Amino acid sequence: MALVLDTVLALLLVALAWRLLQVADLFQAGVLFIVFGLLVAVVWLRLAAPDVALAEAALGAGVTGALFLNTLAGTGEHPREAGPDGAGGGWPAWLVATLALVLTAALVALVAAQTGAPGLPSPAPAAGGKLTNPVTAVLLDFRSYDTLLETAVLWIALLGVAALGGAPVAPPEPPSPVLVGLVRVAVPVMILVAGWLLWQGATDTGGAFQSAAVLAAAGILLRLAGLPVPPVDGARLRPRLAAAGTAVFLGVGVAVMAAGGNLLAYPEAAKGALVLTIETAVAVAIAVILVALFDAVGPGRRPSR
Amino acid sequence: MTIEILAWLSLLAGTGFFAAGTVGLLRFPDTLTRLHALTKADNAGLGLVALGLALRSGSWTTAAFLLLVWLLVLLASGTLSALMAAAVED
Amino acid sequence: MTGLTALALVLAGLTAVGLVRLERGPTAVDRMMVAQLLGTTGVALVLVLGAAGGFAMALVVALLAAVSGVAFVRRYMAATDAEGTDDD
Repeated sequence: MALVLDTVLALLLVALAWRLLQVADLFQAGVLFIVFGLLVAVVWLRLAAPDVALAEAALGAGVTGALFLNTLAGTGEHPREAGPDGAGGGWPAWLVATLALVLTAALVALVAAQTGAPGLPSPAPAAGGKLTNPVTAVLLDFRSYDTLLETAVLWIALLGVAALGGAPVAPPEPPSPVLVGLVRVAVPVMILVAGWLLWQGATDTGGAFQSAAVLAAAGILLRLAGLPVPPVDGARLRPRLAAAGTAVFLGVGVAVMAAGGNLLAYPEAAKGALVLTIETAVAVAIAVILVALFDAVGPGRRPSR
Repeated sequence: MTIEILAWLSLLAGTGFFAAGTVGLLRFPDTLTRLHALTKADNAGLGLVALGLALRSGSWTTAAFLLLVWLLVLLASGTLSALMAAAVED
Repeated sequence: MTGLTALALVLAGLTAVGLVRLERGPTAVDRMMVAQLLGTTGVALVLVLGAAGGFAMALVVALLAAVSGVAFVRRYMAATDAEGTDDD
């Protein structure tokens, strides 16, 4: 029974992906993408990866969906332009189908040949210590340097977008009491959920990125209702908050060096507190960046070419 | 034992409402009527499924959580239905 | 729990069925409604599967699906104005 479910999900994913790449109307592709994101999140859950599932659901189905729809509203061009060789890029259908089948067969053979269950490398749980969530242990401890650089990448992405179109400014929105009613309940709940995910991320499903996604969604919701979003509206506050993720991460990393260790080698006793501090800063920074990116595209905001 | 039966009845009924909502989305003649079909799945469908799961779980915390999820979905889908209906009318 | 897995299968099947409306349209609102329905079906699916971390996920899906729906109405529909029909 479980196998049937997984097969149905897998086939649905393939069908959705194929259709979304093929369909001519970009809006339809956008909606297909949202649905695709939801199903991928379910699949992650089936693969016992709840942290990734949470991130996929929040980012793929929620924030990216809103970003796409906003961008489509701003560009006003909906039909997908065919490339010079036609929709398939010049490759005949039979060739693509054969390649896909061969690659899938190779993948299946590789997976079937694998003995033992793949998992995280054994040093990770030992290095985690207080961090019993293995994903957080790897992201924020075992491979913390990678995550530090990732936060810098997101910040640089915002700088790039700002360089193209100037500072993001929210367009005025017509008032909607119905929407404000939703916002009154949903936004506080989202902020609480974000805080909860951040707190329990050390030991249970959650973490900085999931928390950031929910916070960003709250910010986007406020923006859509035409309400102010202070952390993003402040012209000086926004870049500082966006940089704060990387800054705090680096700051903590260097501070532990001053206490006699290596870069980002947290002392065991303070690990929980330090990781929480870093995660809070990173979550806020990423949320601000995502909302600012949402502001940067959309109706009335055409980036200068 | 009866709780288990009630729970399963609730789960089955909930899934039935989901089916009704999906079929309605396909078969109803026009956008606004399809919006009605949607709300059947959101309200009754999810509500009964949540009730069934709550009965099976035997935990007040779980039941409270399921109630919260259902209420949020109700609020969100109600608002969205109103917003979408207004958008269709234009 | 085979029974719950069977329910999950039914819900996944309903997802596939709902996609037909996504194909047919004809208006943008019709297509977005499919996303909303599948969001709610997804919440039910996740809850029924009962995997670890499922509750957090159900909550997040419920909230975030609403956000993309609101973005649709407030940005996309507002920009495309009276024109809601599109032909593929």
